[in-house]
Amino acid sequence: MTNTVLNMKDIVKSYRDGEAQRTILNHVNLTVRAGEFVAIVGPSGCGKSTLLNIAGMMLSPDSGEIELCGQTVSALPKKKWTRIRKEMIGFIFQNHQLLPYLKAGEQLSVLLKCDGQKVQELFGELNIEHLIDQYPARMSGGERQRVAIARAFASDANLILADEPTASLDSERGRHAVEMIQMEVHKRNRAAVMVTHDERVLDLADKIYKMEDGKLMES
Amino acid sequence: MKLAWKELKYNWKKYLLVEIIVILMMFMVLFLSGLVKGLGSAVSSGVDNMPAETFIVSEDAEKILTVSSLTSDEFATVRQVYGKKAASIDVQRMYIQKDTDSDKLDIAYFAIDPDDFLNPEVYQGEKLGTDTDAIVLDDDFESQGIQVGDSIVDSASGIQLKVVGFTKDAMYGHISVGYISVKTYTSIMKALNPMYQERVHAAAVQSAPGEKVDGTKAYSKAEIVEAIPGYKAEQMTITMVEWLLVVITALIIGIFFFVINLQKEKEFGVLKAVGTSMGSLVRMILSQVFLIAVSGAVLSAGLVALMSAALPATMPFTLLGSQVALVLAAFVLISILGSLATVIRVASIDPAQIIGGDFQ
Repeated sequence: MTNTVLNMKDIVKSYRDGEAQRTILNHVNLTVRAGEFVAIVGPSGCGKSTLLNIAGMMLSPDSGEIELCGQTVSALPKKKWTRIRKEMIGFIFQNHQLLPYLKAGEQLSVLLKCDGQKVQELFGELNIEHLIDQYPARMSGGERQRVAIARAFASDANLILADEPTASLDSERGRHAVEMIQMEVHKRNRAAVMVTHDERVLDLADKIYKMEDGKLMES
Repeated sequence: MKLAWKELKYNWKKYLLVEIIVILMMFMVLFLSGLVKGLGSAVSSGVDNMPAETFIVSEDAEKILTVSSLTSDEFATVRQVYGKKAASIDVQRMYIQKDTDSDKLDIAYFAIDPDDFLNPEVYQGEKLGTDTDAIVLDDDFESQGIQVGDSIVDSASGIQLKVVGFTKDAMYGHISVGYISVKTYTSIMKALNPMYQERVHAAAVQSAPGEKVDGTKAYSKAEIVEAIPGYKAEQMTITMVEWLLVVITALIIGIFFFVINLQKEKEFGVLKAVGTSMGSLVRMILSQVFLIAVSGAVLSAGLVALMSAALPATMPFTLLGSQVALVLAAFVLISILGSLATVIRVASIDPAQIIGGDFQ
């Protein structure tokens, strides 16, 4: 009855590691509903990033099924993935990953064809209106990450994926950035998955999963 | 497209450097192109500008006017076949002097019948008339200080020639031409060799080759020009250097773009991750290359045109619009082909690396 945005069923992914076959994701299930902010924690190398890559339509699982907004996308050919990423998924990367040659506003308008009014609105909500005409090189780390958050919410994507959004920020700014994500997720009724190892921001998430040895457990 | 332009604008210093290199290299290419045409006309303009279509030379002449020799009988037969459309021409390299003490100057005598169609137009003085010992000179001699009305001396025979006019663009094998009448020519030759028998080197014909005359062969003007000693060798060498430079310049752009885009792998990864299609990335790269190549081509063409206007007239330099356009178009095309290496490289970037921090 509730709006399921992301539904990952029985995902298995393994890598060849020398002679051995290393299972990174061992029959993982994950469901995220609209308006739900999910955090995944775990030690590095536990498979968080792989899970995010699979959810983000950049990596294919060995087996399992992914549904996005009710559509089984894992069956689609790779060629269509780019379109799906563009239309259904908003990304927040580690280290913001803004394009150095676009002003803050242009990161949304030129790249994602977001109209000017929405850019204004998003920048207003994130308290960065004054940065619209600035290049990333002239912003602080926290400001850049907020522009990156605005970019993730700029398209009409229902799923937001955040990869260690606090990694390059100090604890205060990191917490602030995650608060922003949380606010936008609830306000715009999006589904969000955040991968982090920063335990201090976990209280902001609606649901917390722990990842260990390729298994995902709710905590 | 917008992305391509914004990127160029933001990194303008980098791209300006590339642009300057392109402009300089293309300038060099166009300069060579002007030189190849200019040298070509220094060798051949005397023949090129003759209002003739076909040349009839003796069979053993190997298409070379100075080597050819038609007997009076043969020329009479040619005249019978073509009527007034055929004219006799003698080509002889000699020396002249302004007066008996001054330096010898190279000259290629073109001996013609002043009543025939080969008599050149003059831009100063009068056309060659039937007066003996009159001469019409190429304008190169004017820059050597010779004027209409001056007397010059044929060095070998000592015969005085009166300059009656100047014509333009008359060169044969890098030597400036002087037009004299057959009568004058005969008197010079007789002074050198009392046994000289009147004969002509070749016949110029205003129509396509007709009935074959025994002992002779007919060639088109282009064939005769190509056979002028030195013409082919010069043209081939410089043309080869020119095209080599076109290709090298285009490859340099290709390599520059490859290196510049190598540094942008992370950005391409992000672009791909947020759903930019490969098609628009290709368009972005190609439009940047196109812009750099086209603007470089246009600017270098402008520079060469400016320089061509500033060059002294004696420099063999001729810019031919069609030739310049061909070179520039080829350059733009090869640049775009060269940038395909970059496209292939970008195509292989995996956006998945952006998550998990492989790109820092």
